[in-house]
Amino acid sequence: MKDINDVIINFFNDNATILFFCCNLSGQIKYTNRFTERLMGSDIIGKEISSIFVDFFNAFRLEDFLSDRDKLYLLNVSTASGLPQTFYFRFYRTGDSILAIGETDSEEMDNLRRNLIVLNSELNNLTRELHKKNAELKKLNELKNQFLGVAAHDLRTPIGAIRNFSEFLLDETRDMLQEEHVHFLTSIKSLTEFMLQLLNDLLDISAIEAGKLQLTTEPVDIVDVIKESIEITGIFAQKKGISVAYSFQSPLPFVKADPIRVKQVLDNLLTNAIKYSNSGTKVSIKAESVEGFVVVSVEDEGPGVPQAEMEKLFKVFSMTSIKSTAGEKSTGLGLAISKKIIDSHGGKIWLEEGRTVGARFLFSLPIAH
Amino acid sequence: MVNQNLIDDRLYGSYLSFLLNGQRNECHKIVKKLLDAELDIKDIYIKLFQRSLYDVGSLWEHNKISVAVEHLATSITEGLMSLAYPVIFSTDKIDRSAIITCMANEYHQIGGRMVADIFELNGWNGYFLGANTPYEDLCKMIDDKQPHLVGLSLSVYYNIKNLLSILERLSSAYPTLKIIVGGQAFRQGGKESLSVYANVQYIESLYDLEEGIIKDK
Ligand code: B12
Repeated sequence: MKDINDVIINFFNDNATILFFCCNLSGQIKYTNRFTERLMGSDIIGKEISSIFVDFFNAFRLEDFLSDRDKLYLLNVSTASGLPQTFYFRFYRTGDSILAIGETDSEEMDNLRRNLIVLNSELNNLTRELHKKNAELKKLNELKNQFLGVAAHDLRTPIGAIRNFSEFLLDETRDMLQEEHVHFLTSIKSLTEFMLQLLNDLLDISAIEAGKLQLTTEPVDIVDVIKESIEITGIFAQKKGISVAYSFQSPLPFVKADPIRVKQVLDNLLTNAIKYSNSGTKVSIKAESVEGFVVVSVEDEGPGVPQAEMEKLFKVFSMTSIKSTAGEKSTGLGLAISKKIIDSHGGKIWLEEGRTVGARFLFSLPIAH
Repeated sequence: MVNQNLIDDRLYGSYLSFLLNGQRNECHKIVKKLLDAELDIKDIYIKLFQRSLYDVGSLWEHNKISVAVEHLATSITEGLMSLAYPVIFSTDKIDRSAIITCMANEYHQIGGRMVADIFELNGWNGYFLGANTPYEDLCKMIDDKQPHLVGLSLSVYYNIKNLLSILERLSSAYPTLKIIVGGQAFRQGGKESLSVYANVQYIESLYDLEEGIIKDK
């Protein structure tokens, strides 16, 4: 009879997946079964039973659990793996020992498993939907770019004609016209010029977004490009009584760039600087080499850009609250295009922060090797 | 030309053992490689995912693996399917749509998801409502999307009775709606019971689906 009992006890001791603690009356663990050792580490003997429970409020009192033999207590235990686990405990006092036995709730585990499967499936279905929606949005965006490209392209020819004809009329018939009519024609010309600029910018944006911006890079002397840009933009500056100054580090290494596109960026930065400057102020351009890049800066003494508006500055159609000084118009696309151009060169474009007067735009281009 | 024999027994064997060991990353690598080689998605679905899940099912049936291993293998497979989405959703769309779903109490959803994906691959809009979808939710979706076709996926044979009652309701609510049915529930028979519905068709495999339904329009 004793043999059978030993077999049963040994079997349970080795195999049962329950937590079993035998403690002395002060709660020190004297003995545990195999499962407990595996789960909680073999150094469990000698520890206080209260120390194995996750007890956020320090409320564990062994005596509290000994009053009702049949009551189940939900308790979390810390395990060797670091993941706490929940067991339902019963406590018994026998002679000079306290027994604590913890079991899991198999129904609860079952529910957990089922819910996990369902959640995982739902997550995967949502991922699928997200991919589907994303693909749709991408297609829509492509469509928008195509539409923009076609519309802008088709509008450019007739609007170009209007501009040319109004210029022609102004040149050839000015003497025959009343002053009011000259004024109308001048308006038509300047408005169509703005429309052409807008159309060109839209074409650029749609080409860039469709990944059709093709750079023909070569070693370029940035100084030449800057001077070329000043040649035209300088005329506008002069008209507004703004002086343009430049200084370059010498010698300045060549950059790897598409000169036509870089000039477009410079034209844009310079035009902006002039647009927001008052008569009698200065626009300065600098270029120097910094750690593998040539950094070009365009600085003005205008009102600057409010800190809060800096972030959206390089986004498409982002207009700021700053007013141009002679009523010049903006397409809201120039800086977005500039950013895309500089980005695709492997450079960076940014606005200096923390200035109290004026604005200073900088961009970098990689040095040619 | 893509080598159609990329998924040979050796590759399959290592994939299955990674799957059974829960080595998600290794499985991921294999699938990625096949996708990079531009293998037909159907082949990846059937020769890798379906074959391994059927094997998992029979190992489980013969008590060679635990439910936990089966769950993990299923979860990993569902995750791996999303690797194909950049390909699946990049096709040019035609004006056709299908809603695929599993009925209430049907928790097997992978086969149905594959079916919805095959529709997408062929330019259709393939909406997938997932496992355990109540009849009312399906109707709402039909009203919303006005699909050309509805597909029902069924894996457990004891759900056939349910299916018939759903078909009854669907075909009286939407008399002209074309319905296709598929899945393992019919492996031991039961297809005959569908023949009373004129607008309902049983489809055996993804290949039949593509040849018979999708390309046929
Ligand atoms: C994973 C799994 C589960 C998971 C499912 C999780 C999930 N997210 O999908 C869970 C754990 C939930 C599960 C539960 C059960 N399962 Co289960 N499960 C499986 C297992 C291992 C894989 C299923 C799978 O994804 N296969 C891979 C897919 C790709 O194959 P497929 O479903 O056949 O789909 C293809 C075709 O059939 C077809 N197709 C499918 N649907 C459609 C629809 C249309 C319109 C068309 C045209 C084609 C089509 O195209 C697909 C691609 O080729 C299978 C084993 C097996 N042989 O498949 C068992 C299996 C399906 N399960 C089975 C059983 C019995 C159950 C349970 C009843 C077990 C239980 N007693 O609790 C429960 C049922 C729960 C419920 N009410 O639905 C049995 C079903 C037997 C039968 N025919 O009735 C199987 C076959 C296991 C077995 N060998 O006994 N299971």
